[in-house]
Amino acid sequence: MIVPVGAQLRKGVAEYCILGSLSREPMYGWQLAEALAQPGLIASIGTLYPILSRLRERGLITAFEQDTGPGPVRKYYRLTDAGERELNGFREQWMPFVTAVTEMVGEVGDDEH
Amino acid sequence: MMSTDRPVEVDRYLKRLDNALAGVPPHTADDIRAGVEEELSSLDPDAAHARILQLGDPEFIAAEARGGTPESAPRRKPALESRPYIVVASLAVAFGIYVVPIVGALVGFIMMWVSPAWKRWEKVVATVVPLGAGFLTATFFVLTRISAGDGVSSLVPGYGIGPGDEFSGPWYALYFTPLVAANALFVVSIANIAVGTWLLVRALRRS
Repeated sequence: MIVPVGAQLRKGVAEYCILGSLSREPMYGWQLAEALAQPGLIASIGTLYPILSRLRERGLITAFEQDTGPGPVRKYYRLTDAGERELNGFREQWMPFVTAVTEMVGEVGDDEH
Repeated sequence: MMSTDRPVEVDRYLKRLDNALAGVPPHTADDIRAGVEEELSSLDPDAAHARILQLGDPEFIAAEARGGTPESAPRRKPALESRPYIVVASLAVAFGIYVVPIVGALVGFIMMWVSPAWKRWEKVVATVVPLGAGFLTATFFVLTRISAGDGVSSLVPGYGIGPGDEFSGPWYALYFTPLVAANALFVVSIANIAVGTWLLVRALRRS
């Protein structure tokens, strides 16, 4: 039986993917949802907002409203200084972590001869 | 924010979303609702239809929100949004003023404001309505004791004013001020019963 680890993995990294996206530019809810849903990092907009709430409560992101001209006033999210530090901390750990796990579990096709 | 000429399909979807989000913690539900509405309101009917398909079933969105919100897990559900808390807080808002004048109601309103069981706009309405009713009552009484200038009528049409009855009189104010306060408090207490009942019904429907 294959253990469905995908959901747990996604849950663990989705927060940092949001921080990473916001480090490039402020984004509004749907923009973030599309960016994260496309590679399968979140299942729906229902996954996104609880994470955004948590990140705001921790002071890693803030929200602000911006008039988009002919469109509606949108709520944008942007990274705070604390969020930038948190993201940098994750970046430092991520590659060594991936390397270590890859060494342990191998890659697809490693067992084929 | 709301568009009066947005597609019917959008309104229907938002209504389904509201119903599905009933069990989601209010601040998260508000964020999701606002995010979806913000997105759909900017689109023409065809684009809105496509976006609704992309968004998917509101029930699924709500289930995801419940699963991803730590405070929605049963064993970690805060006491501040439990049914007993909702009942006690609502009753304190409604009848607290009769149990311990002023302080009883104050406790009820503090309990309401610190609880996530109510949305922010509900808390604002519940706070402003009794205060507004009390203020209007006090204003009315004071205006009936301010002369319109002719010596017989007050600023409120139909309410006469006798000599020495003016609010600005040195002794009359001493008698009249507690009277105004008592009447205003009475109206506040009635308004409290109304908003307390309203708060109770709204929160219990969601819990």
